[in-house]
Amino acid sequence: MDPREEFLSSTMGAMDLVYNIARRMVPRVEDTQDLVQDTYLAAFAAWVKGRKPDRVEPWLATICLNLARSRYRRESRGLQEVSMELARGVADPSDPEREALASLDAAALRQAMWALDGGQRVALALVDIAGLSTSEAAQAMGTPRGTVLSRLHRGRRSLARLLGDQVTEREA
Amino acid sequence: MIGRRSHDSERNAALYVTGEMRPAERRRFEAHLIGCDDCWREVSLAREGRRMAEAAREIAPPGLRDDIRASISVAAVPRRFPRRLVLLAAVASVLAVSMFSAAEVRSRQQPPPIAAALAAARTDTLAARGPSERPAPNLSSQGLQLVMGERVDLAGLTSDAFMYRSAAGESVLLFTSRDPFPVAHDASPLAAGVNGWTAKSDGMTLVCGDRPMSYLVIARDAWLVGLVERGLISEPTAS
Repeated sequence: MDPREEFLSSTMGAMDLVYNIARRMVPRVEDTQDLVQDTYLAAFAAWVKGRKPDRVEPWLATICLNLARSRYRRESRGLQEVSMELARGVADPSDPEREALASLDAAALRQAMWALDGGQRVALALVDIAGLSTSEAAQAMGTPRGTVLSRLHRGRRSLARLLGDQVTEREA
Repeated sequence: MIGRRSHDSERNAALYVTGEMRPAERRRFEAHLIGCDDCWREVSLAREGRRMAEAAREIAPPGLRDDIRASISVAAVPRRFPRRLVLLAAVASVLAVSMFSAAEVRSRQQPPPIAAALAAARTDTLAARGPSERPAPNLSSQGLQLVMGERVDLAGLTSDAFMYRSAAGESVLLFTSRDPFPVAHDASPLAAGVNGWTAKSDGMTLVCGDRPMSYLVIARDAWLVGLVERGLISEPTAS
């Protein structure tokens, strides 16, 4: 089988996952698409050298994180200051939890993610959004699993408080 | 009763909400939750935060999958060639189409030949059709060493492509053609009295002119582009 076809058939199923990780690493959609594409090119370069992982998802996630760190480090420092803006949404009054989420549109959620500490945001992106296990996330981030668990919990808590406060403010 | 280590509320809440607790540990923790306000609060917040994070999940743009396929279809498979440069000879017509598709990914607003040239510059990869028609301009006076010269197809525009490297190892691409290059998106005219344009795209500087031949120069560093321009003007055999 042509190595390109073999690579694509093995990895394209994880593209949405890589996109979602990249989306939390760089703020602009155009940069996100470049990062995803560069991740695949770098992964392919490794693939043809014989580095074929057991599971492609954490492997691609690791490549994506490393590329983002090396290329977008300078930009990402300034990204902690992204302000929160809530867009309008239609709430479903039948379910308070759905109501809270429905009142926050995708842009508000995205911005709330950017308001988190970088390590927390990456932990949430890897585990809650991309669906990696905490062990896989620890490997991708190059940190102990305990650190990932801590960042994950603090990120979740911050997100809940941040968006919960915003919802409360809107309702007031 | 739950032990001291188990009462690390952050760790427990993270594991519990992620669904990574073993069954026995989960049962113990659930029993503990009923009587521990701290853990109950942490788990409630974590659940809410996880739901919010999950709701932030996005679907990749529809064209990205095709773009990646196009990029991989022209990606170099390293064999015996030095550096990152891989020449994909023959099958030029097929590659030219793929090259265009890959270039389009990063430079959607650019005319296809410009997009293809940008993609070549970004990846140090050229879809070569054979040796260059024109001898490579000698730019050693500018400290630039020729790496390669090839005949290429830039999405339908036949061109000679010459790659040079500076002493610092940075590469710059010079394209020459019998036909004029299309004008890049958002290009600015060169100085008065000089035909040509300059533009920035994909983190690259582009300069296009028509003397001493129709040329297009692309590099990340604008200084390198200027070196090539000066070299072309002073190059004795360039005509």
